[in-house]
Amino acid sequence: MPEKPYLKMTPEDLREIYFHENHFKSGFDEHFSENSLNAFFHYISIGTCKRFPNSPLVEAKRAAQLIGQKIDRPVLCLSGGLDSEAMAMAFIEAGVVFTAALMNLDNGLNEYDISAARYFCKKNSIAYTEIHVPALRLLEKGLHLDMAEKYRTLSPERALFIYFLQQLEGNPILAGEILRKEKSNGQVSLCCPKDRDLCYWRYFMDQKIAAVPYFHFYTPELAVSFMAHTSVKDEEKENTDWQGQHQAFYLHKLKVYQEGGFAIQDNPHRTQKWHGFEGLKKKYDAQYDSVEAYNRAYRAPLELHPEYDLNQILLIDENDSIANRILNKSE
Amino acid sequence: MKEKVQKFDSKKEVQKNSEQEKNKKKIKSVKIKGYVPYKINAGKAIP
Repeated sequence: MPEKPYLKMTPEDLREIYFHENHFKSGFDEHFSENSLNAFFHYISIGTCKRFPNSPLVEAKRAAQLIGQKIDRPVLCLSGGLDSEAMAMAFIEAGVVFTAALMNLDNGLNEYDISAARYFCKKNSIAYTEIHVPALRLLEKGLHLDMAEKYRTLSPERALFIYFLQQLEGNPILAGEILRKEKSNGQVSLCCPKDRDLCYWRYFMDQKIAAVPYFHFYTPELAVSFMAHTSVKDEEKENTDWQGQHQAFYLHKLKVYQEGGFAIQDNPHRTQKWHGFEGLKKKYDAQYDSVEAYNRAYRAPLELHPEYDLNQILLIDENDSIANRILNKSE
Repeated sequence: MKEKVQKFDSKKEVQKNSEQEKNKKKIKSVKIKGYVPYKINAGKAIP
């Protein structure tokens, strides 16, 4: 087993790696404390922008370079979707050497999903490993409950993804999503990482792993760059119907990345892409002849929506005139 | 597995009961000194 020097790092050293200059905060009050029970709000905050952001591609390249300076063995977790592919493109353009890791569920249940990632790696001569995740066996053993308790995953899929991370050698880099506007139940609001999306960060902190839990928020400038430069600021896309709006949502996202400077192309392997776990659910449902079997078995036990989930707030320093101007313009 | 579910359910119940008392769903606005707050979309589960 190769030595892992970051195991000797202090939590403070590691925080400098997770987000540039430890700029990103998350917690349940304005001091970002981490007591979830009875929490009414969840807050996140990004650091102050030091300058007006460049294009998203330029900011993403800068983030990749910063990560490359701090991390020895970046392993980019590629899902086959646009967010992780854009991240990989930034690393390539920045000249930062990396390998990739792909999650392979139960012998091909997400083949339609990872085939896009495999195609991308081959096309760009990126070394990659595929990690087999025996999803159904792990869920039957209660992995979704264990991970929910430890890391507030609140979904069986995030629990499986943490299992995938546990198998990786090197320093995992996760893309996350871009800061954008989203229309949900008729209301337009910002789409940002929620507490549940930060479960991987909690896992890295708990295990003292040098990693990047949310690349698209790695610097404050990268986080707001899409809102500053692309149509994500003024177009609203429904994101509530995961099936019905899939194609429109995908095409909009593709357009936004292209506007941001990424030479990202539509990929025939990605046409069915949504979140990558559809095949798992279908297989389980078919086994029990019910479209609700999977949800009943593995989602219902986690179903409680904590109040903080409904009341999630992004805090921007009132003196950060750049970020506030960008975000207010889009209101 | 059954025991794990029961343990998890009991924790959920504690959280649910105490929270039901003090809130009526979504908050319309929030003020935090030194910050400009922006509402984030409500959480949802992956299907």
